[in-house]
Amino acid sequence: MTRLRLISAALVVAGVTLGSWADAGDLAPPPRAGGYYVLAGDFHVHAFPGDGALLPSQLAREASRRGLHVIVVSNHNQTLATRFIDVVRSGGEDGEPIVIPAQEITSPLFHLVAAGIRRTVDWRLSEEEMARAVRAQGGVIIGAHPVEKSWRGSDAMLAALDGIEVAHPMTDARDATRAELDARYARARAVNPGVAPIGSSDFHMVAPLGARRTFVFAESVSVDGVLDAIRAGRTLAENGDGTLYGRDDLKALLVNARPSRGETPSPFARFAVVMSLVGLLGLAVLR
Amino acid sequence: MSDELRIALRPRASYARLEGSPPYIPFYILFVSVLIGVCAAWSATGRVTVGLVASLSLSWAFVPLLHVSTAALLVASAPARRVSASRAVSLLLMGHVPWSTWLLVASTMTATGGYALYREALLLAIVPMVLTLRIVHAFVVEVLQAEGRGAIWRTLAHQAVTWAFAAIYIDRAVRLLPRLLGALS
Repeated sequence: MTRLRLISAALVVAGVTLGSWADAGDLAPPPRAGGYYVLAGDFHVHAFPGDGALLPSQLAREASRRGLHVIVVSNHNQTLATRFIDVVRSGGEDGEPIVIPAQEITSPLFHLVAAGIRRTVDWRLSEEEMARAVRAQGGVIIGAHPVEKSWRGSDAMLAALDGIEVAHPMTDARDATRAELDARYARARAVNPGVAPIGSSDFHMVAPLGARRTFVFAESVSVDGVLDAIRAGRTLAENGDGTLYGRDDLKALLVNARPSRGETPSPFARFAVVMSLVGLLGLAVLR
Repeated sequence: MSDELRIALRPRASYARLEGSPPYIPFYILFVSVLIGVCAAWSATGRVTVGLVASLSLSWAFVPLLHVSTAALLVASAPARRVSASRAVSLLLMGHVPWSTWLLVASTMTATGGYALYREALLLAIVPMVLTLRIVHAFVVEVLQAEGRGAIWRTLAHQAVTWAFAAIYIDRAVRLLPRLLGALS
């Protein structure tokens, strides 16, 4: 290997080492308000293997950095990635985020996040059969990005939902999408007043995880505590501009008990990335 | 300027000149794995750490392994080549610069611009697609000694097999059938 290539390789190693040194701290414990734990969650996250970049263990670490107490790993019509969840130290009380296994049921009519399930639900089932199959496993059903392009579900489906995404990064690109999501949320509340508002990042491989988030008012810091809170509609969804969707009494509780948003990468961490990228470019183009 | 960059810029002249290379396959697998690991970590978290890069590199190491396999298939299809099989595979793998550069640029675009630049980053992939076609064709002509239509068919077959692997992974990851049915309904 030539001298220039050795220097490039050293830059990559130095960058990754510096990046590890500059890594963020641990997850702050959830605040308490009104007798509940206030958890920050991201309920629609894709993982590797699938169309996400990160393994569930890496997602859990990133959730800690971003101040998320709960993430829901939901790949399209498969639960393979959720099998890796068992090796994740997960729980909440010990400072680790809760990682909930799920599936994004991807059907021609709609996408649903079925949170809290282990076995794949067949996307060819009818709406009623699908809801029964999820509940039989103790899961909850969340309508995913319910805009016209990906949602042709009936009012009966809206009535069967435990939660519905009302905050999603797709609204960044088009104002019309914001109006569509608002209209679908209003319709869902009309036919299903207790439906939980959900904010999700639909994270694949573009940061940040938790770009949109859900505040969950849970009686316990556990998978069951989170799922029960969704069933009871005790959530607030936060949009990118800070707008909150959900019950006014919960908004009042959040005022003095808002979970920290975690840490964004420090200047050292960004410098470490630049070192690594320059090193890799050098390895490709320098003799 | 590296031989890899020369191949990207002037593929036929470079392949005509290059007789061989030092053992390149292990370097290629390691380099591309780490490249994917760093770029995925950068785009997905905005950081690079030993744990992130190591686990991402291992997770996605099947990508360079598939490249080596498709390169070996192409080389095996041409017994009249002017170098040994392993040298020929190495020479083809040295044509990685267009895709490697795209990965660095695309991850930087998505890491700094988020979803606002996601579509543009994907569209930019047209550049390495075209450049790689040119590189593979030059390799087939200069190293595998194929001519005319035979060279074109070999080039297209290699790219078709490579993209078929990609399409299979994408289908398993995003489930194309229900989406297609939804779009048609």
